[in-house]
Amino acid sequence: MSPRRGREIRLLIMLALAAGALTWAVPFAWMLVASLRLESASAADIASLIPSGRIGFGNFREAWNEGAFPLWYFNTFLMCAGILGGQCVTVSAAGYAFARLSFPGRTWIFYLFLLQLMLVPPILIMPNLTTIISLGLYDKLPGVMAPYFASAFGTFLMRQTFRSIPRDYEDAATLGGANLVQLIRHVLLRLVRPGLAAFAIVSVS
Amino acid sequence: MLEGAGPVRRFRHVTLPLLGPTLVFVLVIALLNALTQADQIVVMTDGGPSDATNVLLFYIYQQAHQNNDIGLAAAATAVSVAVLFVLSAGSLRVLERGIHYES
Repeated sequence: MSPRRGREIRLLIMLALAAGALTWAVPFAWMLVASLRLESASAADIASLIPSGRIGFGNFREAWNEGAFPLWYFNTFLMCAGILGGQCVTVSAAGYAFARLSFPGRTWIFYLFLLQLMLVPPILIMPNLTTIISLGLYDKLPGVMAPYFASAFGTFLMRQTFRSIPRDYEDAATLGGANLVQLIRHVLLRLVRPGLAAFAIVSVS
Repeated sequence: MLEGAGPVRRFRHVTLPLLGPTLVFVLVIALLNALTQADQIVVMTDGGPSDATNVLLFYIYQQAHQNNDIGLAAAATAVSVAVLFVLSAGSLRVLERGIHYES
């Protein structure tokens, strides 16, 4: 392949990718245009990417003054941090147990654990609510977080991550005189960091 | 590389086996996700014309909220969860037989 031809092919690929990216960007552009449109216009105008009426930041000002956004963002932050913190602990512990410890029925208990992924979340609203009430957490922030502390998705992900780590690292650490806590803190948790990071991104978004 | 493997063989015999655990995860999650979707049906076709685009989950919703047959919907839910369980446990078993774990 001549260098000229190679450049042409690269240009074609770039164009195709740009077209794809543009398609995905349209809804966001749409959202932005709609938020800048001042007078609530007719339905036909809502559907156009080019606003016909006046545009400005008035809607943003109104929305900001309407609600207690700083408080809401603070609560969101608290919830996110609380849930993520809880999840990281349970998920890496459970993943470790399913990947490394041997106990009777390990495989089947793990399969049963995956049941959470097979239920549509709305099914769990009522059971979660009654559990929260009987725990005395109703109408409290921990009560909002509690249902999310365990995650089958994360446990599965961490199990796979732990299983892709060679056991040699653990043997080496044990030979070097590390106890279980040191082993988990200084060896395993460091090695599964990429998995935890991936889980954190999925969990927060 | 040293033993003369080309890029395709390197991917096929080294990269892919090492990705095994992650691929199993992705496959099972994707399978479960695909089977527990109903949003598109609600938004686009409502299961029509004459149930041609219906899915199990939307059928359950129809029975519960349009026909008010809670019993049938609950039974269908139980059956669908059982099917999902068998499917995912089965595919996990089959897939894990074929992949290489470091430990």
